Amino acid sequence: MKIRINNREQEISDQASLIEVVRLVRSTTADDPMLKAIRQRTGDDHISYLVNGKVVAPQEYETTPVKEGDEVRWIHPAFGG
Amino acid sequence: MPNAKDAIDARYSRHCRLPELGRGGQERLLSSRILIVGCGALGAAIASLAARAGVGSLRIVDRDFVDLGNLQRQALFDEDDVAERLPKAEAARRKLARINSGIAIEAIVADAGPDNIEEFIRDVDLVLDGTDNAETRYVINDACLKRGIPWIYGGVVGVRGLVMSIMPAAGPCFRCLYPEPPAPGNMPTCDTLGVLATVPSLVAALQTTEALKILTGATPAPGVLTVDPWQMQFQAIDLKRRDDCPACVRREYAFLDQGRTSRALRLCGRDMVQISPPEPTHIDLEALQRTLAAAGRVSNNGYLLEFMADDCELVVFRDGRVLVKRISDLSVARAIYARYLGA
Ligand SMILES: [Zn+2]
Repeated sequence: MKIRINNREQEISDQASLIEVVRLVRSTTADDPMLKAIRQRTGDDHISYLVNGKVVAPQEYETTPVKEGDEVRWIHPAFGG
Repeated sequence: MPNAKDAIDARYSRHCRLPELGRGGQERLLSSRILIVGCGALGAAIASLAARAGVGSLRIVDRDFVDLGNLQRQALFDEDDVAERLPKAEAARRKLARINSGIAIEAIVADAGPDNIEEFIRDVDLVLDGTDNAETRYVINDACLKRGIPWIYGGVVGVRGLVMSIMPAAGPCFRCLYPEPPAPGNMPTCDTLGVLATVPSLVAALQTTEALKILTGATPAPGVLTVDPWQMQFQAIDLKRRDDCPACVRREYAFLDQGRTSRALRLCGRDMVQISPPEPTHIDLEALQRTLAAAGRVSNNGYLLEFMADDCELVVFRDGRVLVKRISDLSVARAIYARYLGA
């Protein structure tokens, strides 16, 4: 099925949950210098995931279904100033 | 003798000509009052833009002093401020007063937290986030929702940034975006990852624009804007309220209500730990200077005291906070604090 991830159409398996999208984003951003550095230093990329405008808590990634046409966004962390 | 109208026209003519603002909008800015929490890269750029734009009253709260490593990106500060070891809030106030003598600027050297934030926001129209950590932003979010004051979150790290206007009546809020704070010490900061000099300026310009809109009655941007000028990618993201948001839905202000205890935290961009006293206090720097003189080299510029011993280097502020320099281990910093400040 087709969903949109950060405004780009992507094909993912039917009956997927958000965790599949998270894995996809992790692999496509594996070479991103900043996310790579964050993963190395903190063991996590601290990316926030939104499905149709609502943030999903990490403990709910596996149980949050993703449907055809859903809009998934991911946001990099930004707590510095 | 020019009248007030002519003075506004002369100084703010470019705003007065703007259909989006006009003289009416400029007059509203001049009668507005804002709080800027944090005066590092974001806060200093915001303060500079807001002062030039003619926001009538600025209150700037910051806990730090100007350091050489700040000059790479922090507007308003220069090498004289580093040499003088001026607190950032005070250094900013001095510069801003020369930029615009027609506005009121109040500098407060303090660590904004649950015990003092409500005092700082009590009479302002809007709060701008210039902080460098997650913890303070949760406190600002609680306080602004509780008091019904709009605030504008801005954050940066590396080559990326975020901006979000939080309108208490409508939501969503900061906790709709970040429901729970990251574990302390487990968050990427400018300290560990660096930050591109232009990114805070970009984010601060967007934050200040949102502020000017809200102060003049225009509608702020909905949702979150993410910016990545390195890739030249900008994303406007629709963010909805979380149905179970503890802050903007349930109106529980856990971060504001938490009792204040002595806190230790690593500062963004510095190899340094800050220890805060459990309660607001006032330190007699001259008396402390005499006490510490027996144990090492001491200097005192009236705003802060610097102390150098064989094993450590400390900066003590009048509000009781202590910076332990060249230490990143929190418990080691606490031990040094206890040794020389006896807490
Ligand atoms: Zn909320």
